[in-house]
Amino acid sequence: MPIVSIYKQPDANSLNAAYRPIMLYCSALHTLPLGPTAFVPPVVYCDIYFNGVFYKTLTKTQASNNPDFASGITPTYEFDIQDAAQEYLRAELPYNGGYLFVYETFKSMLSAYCKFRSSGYNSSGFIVSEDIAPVQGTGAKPPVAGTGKQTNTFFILNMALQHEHNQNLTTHLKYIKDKTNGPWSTTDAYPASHRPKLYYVGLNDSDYYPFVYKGDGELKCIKLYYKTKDKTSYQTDQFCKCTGRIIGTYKLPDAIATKPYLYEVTAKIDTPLSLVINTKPAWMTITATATKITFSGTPAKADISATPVNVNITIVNCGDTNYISFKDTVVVVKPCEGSIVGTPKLPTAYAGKPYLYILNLLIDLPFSVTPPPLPTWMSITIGPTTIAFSGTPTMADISATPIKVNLEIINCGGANIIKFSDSFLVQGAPTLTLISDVRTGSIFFPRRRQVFRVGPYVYAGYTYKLKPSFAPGNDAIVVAVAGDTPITIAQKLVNAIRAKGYGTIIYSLLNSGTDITIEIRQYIYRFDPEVVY
Amino acid sequence: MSNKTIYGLPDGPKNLKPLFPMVKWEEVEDYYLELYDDNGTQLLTTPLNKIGCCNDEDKKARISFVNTLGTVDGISITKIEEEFETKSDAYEKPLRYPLEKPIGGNYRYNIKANSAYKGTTACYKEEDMAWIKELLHSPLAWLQWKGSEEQTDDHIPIVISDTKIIPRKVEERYVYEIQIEFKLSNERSVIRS
Repeated sequence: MPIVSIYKQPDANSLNAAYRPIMLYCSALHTLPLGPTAFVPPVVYCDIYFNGVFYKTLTKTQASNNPDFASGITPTYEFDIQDAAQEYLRAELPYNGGYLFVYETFKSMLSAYCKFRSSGYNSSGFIVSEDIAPVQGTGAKPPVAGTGKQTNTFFILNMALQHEHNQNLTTHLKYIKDKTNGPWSTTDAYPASHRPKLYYVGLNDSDYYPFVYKGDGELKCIKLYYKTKDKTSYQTDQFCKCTGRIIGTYKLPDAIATKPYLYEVTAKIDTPLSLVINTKPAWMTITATATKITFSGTPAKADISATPVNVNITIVNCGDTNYISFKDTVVVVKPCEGSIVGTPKLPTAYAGKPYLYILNLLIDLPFSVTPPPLPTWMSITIGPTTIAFSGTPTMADISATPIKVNLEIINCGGANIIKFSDSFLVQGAPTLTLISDVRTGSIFFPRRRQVFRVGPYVYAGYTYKLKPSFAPGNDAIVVAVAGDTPITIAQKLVNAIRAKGYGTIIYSLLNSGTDITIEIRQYIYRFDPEVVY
Repeated sequence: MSNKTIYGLPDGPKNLKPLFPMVKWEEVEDYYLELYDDNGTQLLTTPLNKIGCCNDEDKKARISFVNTLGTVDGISITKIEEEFETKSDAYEKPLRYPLEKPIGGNYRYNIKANSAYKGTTACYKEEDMAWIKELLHSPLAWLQWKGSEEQTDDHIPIVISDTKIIPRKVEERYVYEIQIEFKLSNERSVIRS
């Protein structure tokens, strides 16, 4: 098992002084808990990342508690990363003299997190790390991040707390706000100096007031309140820096070929501004205003590609001194499509006859169907690319009113809706209709040539020794329905005749056609049914 | 979006003059600053800065020092006294015969030469002594240096000397004159021959 839990750590986004313990606690287990002691990992790693980049790894081979496998007490490990932070952090000296706007430090405060890794033994008995170990940067090669169970991300500042100070740095800094001359933001800014409330400077002195900033906005305006020697009230003046920024994070969504594309990024940019497009897909149009950057267009099917296309723009404002960069990629994907194959028409259903009709779909999966109201005898079965209507109506289902079927087939999360609307009738079975009945002489006397109609088909044949009762309507077995092939109906005729009591006589179907002529011939000397096509 | 880090807000008249050129700084008695973000939210208010406690450039010095919060503070001191001190070792080399007029036998080497400074500030009160302590035990400090020979104004590193002060007096607790001693971090460069 890997790291079980991180049970104590600095709060997310909290401020922490580098010159005091910065403790991270985790519990970990061996990969293969083979026995009462083997469940303790040989090494537990804490990979420290500063400003999102791997910095160094701390290791522990000894648990800080007394783990007991039987009692379920897992090994726990403690890491103090203050030394690493102190190595990294530096005090930074601002310029002596005029400098435009605020002075930014780069190594006085960092964001930190740790990724814990456990370890075990391989089959050769060597210690192997779980997860992926990070790689230290060497020369021109930057560090490569690893994997593991990650702690909160918090801030470490190049600060020391005295014994009398509140050991929570945020709380301590909050109390310094009282030593200033007015209000502060509650959570975005904190003083970074204990300088007196009344602070002396010379007329030619350079001085910067240090403060911690952890807000999301852009530092914008300095407002000066000053009192001259002959006045009792303060006058004001203000200096505002030209700024511009993208608010929040952004990620260009995939574009769908043939569909209009629109993605807007909220921005706050001082005007006038100019847009420099470094790279973009040909189909894309990019515009920028003081409040938003808009990406639009309609990619064609020819633009579909799995390879992301770079979108790289720069917005220049503040007299070409401020640059807002936007770098991302966009992929054009196939549009989600769906349609019904052909122009289907629901056929008539016949009582007593199994009904099966299949709609074939050409559709991007997955899709869903809003089941329409259907008669009780009919069910709908949805396959990967088919919708089947099936069931067997009874005589009671016969109706002169068409049954309506309204289907909505939805895919692409509702973006694509296919509508199918049709109706069909439920009728009784087509009857066997005697068209003509001609007796002719032949090998057997009397030989009767009969012509039948079943539905749209006409059948003619010669029968022998048919009972006089054999007539349309008397034969309930011969039920031909639309969709029966002529040969099927011919076979039904044979079966019907046989079922009428002529079982001792073998009838064979000798011939068939579109409007078939069926010759049902009696074989006296054979007893096996035979159908000849 | 501004980075989440530590910033320095221009706070000295020297830094503010370019930003507020219409202000007659020679007439300003005191001032303070507010900082706003681009949403119009007030982020901070500085302490009240009072111009004074010596503005005479010939009589003062400005020290920048790293405080216990890892940032750079500044303090002006007056009554500057410079003491220049040298140290060296001696060696003797044999003489030629006959003696040559410019050649000597005793010379010095390993010459160390540096300036040590003393200055005082009496601007701050008893409640400010905790901050003065930060100055006195600061690991890094600089002297604000006025540029010369076509060089811009900069900082010269100094080493604040060990000292002992009385941050809480028994009497006259309304005034605290603190003496600060320091020497330049870089000694004088001396050639060898």
